Amino acid sequence: MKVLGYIDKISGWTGMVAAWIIIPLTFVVIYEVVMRHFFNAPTGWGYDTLWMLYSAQFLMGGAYTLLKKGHIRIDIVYNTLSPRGKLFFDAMIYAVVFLPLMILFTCAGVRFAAEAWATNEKLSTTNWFFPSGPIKTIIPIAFFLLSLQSLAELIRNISTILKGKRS
Amino acid sequence: MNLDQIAAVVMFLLLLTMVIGGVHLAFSLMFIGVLFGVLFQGPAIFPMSMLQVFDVMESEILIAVPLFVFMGTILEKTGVAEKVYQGLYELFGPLRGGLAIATIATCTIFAACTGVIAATVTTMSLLAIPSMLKRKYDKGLATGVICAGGSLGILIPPSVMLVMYGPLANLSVARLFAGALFPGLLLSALFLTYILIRSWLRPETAPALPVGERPPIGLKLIRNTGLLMLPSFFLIVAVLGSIIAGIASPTEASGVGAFCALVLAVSYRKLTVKSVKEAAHTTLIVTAMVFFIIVGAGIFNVVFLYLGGGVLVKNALMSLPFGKWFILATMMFILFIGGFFISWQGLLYMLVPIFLPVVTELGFDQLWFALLVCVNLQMSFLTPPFAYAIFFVKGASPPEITTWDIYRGVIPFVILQAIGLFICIVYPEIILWLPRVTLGGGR
Repeated sequence: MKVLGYIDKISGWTGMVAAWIIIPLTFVVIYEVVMRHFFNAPTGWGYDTLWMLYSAQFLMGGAYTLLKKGHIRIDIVYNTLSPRGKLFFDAMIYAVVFLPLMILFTCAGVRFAAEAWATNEKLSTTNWFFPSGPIKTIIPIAFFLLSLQSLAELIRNISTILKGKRS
Repeated sequence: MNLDQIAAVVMFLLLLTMVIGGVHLAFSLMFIGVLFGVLFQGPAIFPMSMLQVFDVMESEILIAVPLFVFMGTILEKTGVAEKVYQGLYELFGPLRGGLAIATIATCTIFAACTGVIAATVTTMSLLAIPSMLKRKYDKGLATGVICAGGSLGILIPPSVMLVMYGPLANLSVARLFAGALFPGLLLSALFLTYILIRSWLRPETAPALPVGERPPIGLKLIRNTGLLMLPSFFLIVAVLGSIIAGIASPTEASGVGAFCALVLAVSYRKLTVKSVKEAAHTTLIVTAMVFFIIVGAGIFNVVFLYLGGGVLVKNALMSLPFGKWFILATMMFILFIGGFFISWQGLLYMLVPIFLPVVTELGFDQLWFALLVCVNLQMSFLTPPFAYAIFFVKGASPPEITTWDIYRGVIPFVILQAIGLFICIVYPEIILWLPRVTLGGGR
């Protein structure tokens, strides 16, 4: 399954980018703390930059976390299923819960971001008034990545079930 | 009950079924929220969901979550916990139960440096279980101590749980941190007392180090121990001290903490591209997992409250007999029972929002109630079948430890946690004194 490999790679790559955001996040906080507490000159852009970095991090990390099975689930009932039962159950979850939900959220996200771009909306959290379009665009991207990864998980489960039947 | 309220009940039961059934928590919340949203509010649920996402994105306080997690994972790699344990091991080793005491003490100190339990429990399992087994400690005691001590990581500030509780209940996270310090230390003290009494009564289950292996007692030993613990104390003062004293906001302190952890790692020569990369990836997974739950819970709760589910729960609880203390006890009991089956994030985001109006109505202090919930949730880490601490200990301990050993081992500690919770209810000043003194009144 070539598609599967591609999708896993996309999630892995976006996950790596998202993971490294923690470093600039740390340093922007330090910079802000030093400017505020030692020079009494807080930056105008610090807080907005911080929340944009952190939200980009967790949004872009959603698909990667799905790939790495990091989204928490309670497995006490799940673990009583046979290996085959688990595959069927997971395939059902991805087909019924994840995929439709993530696709709908992608569409909703596109609208949400498009509106910000169209009206040239500015951030209202501080006096920096940075355009809100770019960060809002991350939302549909994140849900699109999640849709892709859900599709990959679905394909993976189905193909494992089919393989099991043949052997 | 009208139709909407019946729908709210069905909504909650469906969510519970999905979550217990094994569907990922974050996506169960989103799915049920959107499903009932579409049914009862129409397509407006979609733009509303996006606003929920954006709300979580814009939060200033939640920025502290990834930074505290990163700080913890970097610290795990620096080996400061090993150093603290080594120092305390020599100091307390000659006592009966000394290694268990050193374990609890290390967990307590490490808890004041990190905000999650995974780092503490895994590190301590790898460190302390082999040394306790070698000294013929009872397996139940050895594992129980680590489960209970490790869980302190998420109660003693800095704590990811408290950072998440703040925006949920509109409480100041700095005050929550200050309020959590003494309840955390109280639990730690209860654990230590229990170990001392138990190993005094039954020395064969927790023997002292043999005479030949004891380091000579004297200034040198104390100086050694002190030196090994110095970096941790520096970190605690920098991060926790600055928050509780009101100098820095939790977000600022989390960044400073992450930075200090990196500096510490450099000074121990443990900072490599590989270790930072691993820590960054672990942080990402924990962060994304938590934030998707927050987003999901936001969507779920908006619809649940729209349908009047909140009022329904409030009326049901308020109609209980025997007065407000019985209602409080009922809420605590629901959390306790929920803790057997549901993760702490689930309990926090499913139950706390529906409890809050009741707490206000009864005239209880919100800060006090928040910390009661967090002390209560300590038990959820130890109560099987769904118990984080037990998972981590089982995963990191040698094969001769069975799950049954751990189950047996945690029972006394769950009882101790319940006693701790009871003490916090009877003496609210344990929680309320420190925030009032350092941060003044208000919320």
